[in-house]
Amino acid sequence: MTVTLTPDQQDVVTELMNLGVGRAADAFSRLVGDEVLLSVPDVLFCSQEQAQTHLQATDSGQMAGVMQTFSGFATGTAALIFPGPRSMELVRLVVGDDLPAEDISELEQETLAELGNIILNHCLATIGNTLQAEVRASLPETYRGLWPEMFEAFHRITPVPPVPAGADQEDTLVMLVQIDFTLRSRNLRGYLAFLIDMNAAQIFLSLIDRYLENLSG
Amino acid sequence: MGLCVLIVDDSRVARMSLRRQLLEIEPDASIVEAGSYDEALTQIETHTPALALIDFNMPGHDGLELARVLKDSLPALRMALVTANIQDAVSRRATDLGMAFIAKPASVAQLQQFVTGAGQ
Repeated sequence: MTVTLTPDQQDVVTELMNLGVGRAADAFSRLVGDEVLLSVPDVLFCSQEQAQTHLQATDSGQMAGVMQTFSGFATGTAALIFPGPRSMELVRLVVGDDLPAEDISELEQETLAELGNIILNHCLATIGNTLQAEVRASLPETYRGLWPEMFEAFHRITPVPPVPAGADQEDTLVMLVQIDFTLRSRNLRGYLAFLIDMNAAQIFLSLIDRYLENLSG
Repeated sequence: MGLCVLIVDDSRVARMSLRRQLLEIEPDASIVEAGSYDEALTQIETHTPALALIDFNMPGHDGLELARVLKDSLPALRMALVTANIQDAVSRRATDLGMAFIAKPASVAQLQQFVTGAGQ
């Protein structure tokens, strides 16, 4: 099963992600009081396995992440993931340095959840606004582990959309959008990834087409 | 007795951050916190807040559902929806309920504007 996007459609996806992540970066930078630098979104259409291999190659070791499932313009999972050992640094940036270390450590999970919530929601809401389609997101959940464990969580929480007749579940094609962000003064790197099952993305594709039509109209 | 403000958010970190910002604006404010719809309803049995900052996405009932109920119980209460869900549809629903809309993370300037407007 292959879902191919025209170059124009791919362009819209990249542009939507740029808009969404731009708004998210603005919120992020206000939270941590530092400039956030973003890479150009890397949009990949691949199998879940390929997505995993791709991400594993970018970073090994413990990762910390926040995930939210969403439905509306598309069904999928959005994740904010960064190298685990640096997560406390990020937490400290958000809650401030004036708290005792044990309090900061106690607040780690909640801070990461709220950070993810803010970034992922800004991103999803901006895409929804641009496509003029609503999106509903679940509450954020935090995960820790190596990439395979992160992927296990990804699979476990992603809602299974109705797959059109004839499509093989094994062949599920996902859209992986990867954006690297870096804090200017800290060299702290992380990833935003969106996994969307393209076999059940007819609504998404038709919204993209409508967006394109409006552009040319 | 300072200004009484109700903060409703399931994230303790979000509540801490709003509390800190509010105290910067109104050092004498008395702040009442709730982590859910139910907790908020319990809090208003013993407190009469003049202002409420309410998160949208919470387990159980969402912030707009809470706002509808609070509006009936406390007609004088001024409310703001404080959320990272910056969708036009969500902000429109908040405005329809007479709420202010503040995108997360809130800035002190935005909160200040909301707090000052409360006296009107």
